[in-house]
Amino acid sequence: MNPWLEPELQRGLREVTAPAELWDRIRAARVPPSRGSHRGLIWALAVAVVLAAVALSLVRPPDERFALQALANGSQGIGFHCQNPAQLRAWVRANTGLDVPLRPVPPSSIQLIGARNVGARVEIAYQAGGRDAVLLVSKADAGRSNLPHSRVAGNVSSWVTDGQRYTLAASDPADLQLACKLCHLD
Amino acid sequence: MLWKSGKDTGRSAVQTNGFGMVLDAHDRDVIEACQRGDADAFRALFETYKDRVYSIALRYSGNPAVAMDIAQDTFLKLLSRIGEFRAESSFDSWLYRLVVNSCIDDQRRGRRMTPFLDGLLDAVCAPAESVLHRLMRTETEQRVQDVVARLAPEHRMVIVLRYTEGLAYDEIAKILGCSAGTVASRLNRAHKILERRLSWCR
Repeated sequence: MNPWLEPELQRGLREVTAPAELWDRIRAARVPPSRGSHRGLIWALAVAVVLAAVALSLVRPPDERFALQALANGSQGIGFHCQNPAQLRAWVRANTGLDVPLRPVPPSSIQLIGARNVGARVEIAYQAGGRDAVLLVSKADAGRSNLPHSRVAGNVSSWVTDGQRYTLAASDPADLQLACKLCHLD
Repeated sequence: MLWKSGKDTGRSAVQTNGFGMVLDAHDRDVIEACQRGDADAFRALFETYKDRVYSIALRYSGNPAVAMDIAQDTFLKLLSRIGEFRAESSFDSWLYRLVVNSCIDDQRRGRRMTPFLDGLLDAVCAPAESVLHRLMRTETEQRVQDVVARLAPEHRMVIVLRYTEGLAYDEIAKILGCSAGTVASRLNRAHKILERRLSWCR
């Protein structure tokens, strides 16, 4: 570097005094001082999200919990008593928009009791082999592909078919297969 | 509690918080108080660092109004992020990074103005020196500032940190997050451009 340049730069770029009004501008625009790091804020947000998720799950229990509750309630609260599969299917479609492919003529081991709709769900109460069973049907999340049967608890099974989520609860785990005959052939 | 700035206590900020040095007890107390939300401590920090922050902003932007905006932005960032500062690191380095980032943010917003007349007006109004002599000196300084203001941002920042703040290569490298070799290379390139454009000063 040429020797004349450095002093010129030092002189031309020397430190200057900040204008007095800088403090006034900062004071006017000031935000409350941060007492913690952003990490604290991130943790607080994460905790809030988890709490919100827990609260949401309590407010809107999953279908499995609904099905078990309906099973425990038996025929209590059934709004539409009907033993005719075609009529029941039409009622469900009219009241919830869901189409449940009930067998037009179920086997003698299946006895329909009725149905009720709870929000966007429908509970179909019936007996399989003389014991209570409940089929709970709701709309699956948008874009959800079919899911095979999964055993959630001993006597509860759920699956997704054609955009509808099915949850089947039977009084006895051994009755689940029999309870499937509400819709399916032997 | 009323805090005193480095200047109030008769120490220059550079001597007090020498770059890369461990903070002394007073500075640490002021910063910790500021982290707790103590307004007086923030004022003390402002008084200690305002000239350095404003000078970097001014030398980088070449415009007093823009420099005020950058300095304001820097101190507001300091206020909102002081909780992130850890005492084991250098406060100067941390603050320099805030200024540099504010300068870059301002640059991205596309505001670039380099007024020529302000310095000349000051010179004409100054009574003590010979008007002609002062005009010539001010013209030279203004020309230096103008040429620096026209450098590419990466060259301009190393020049400002080097000549406004007198920082060493490794200190500049730490602030800019690059190697000392990169700083040396940028400075070398910037010097060559400045030599060419300021050759009439010789």
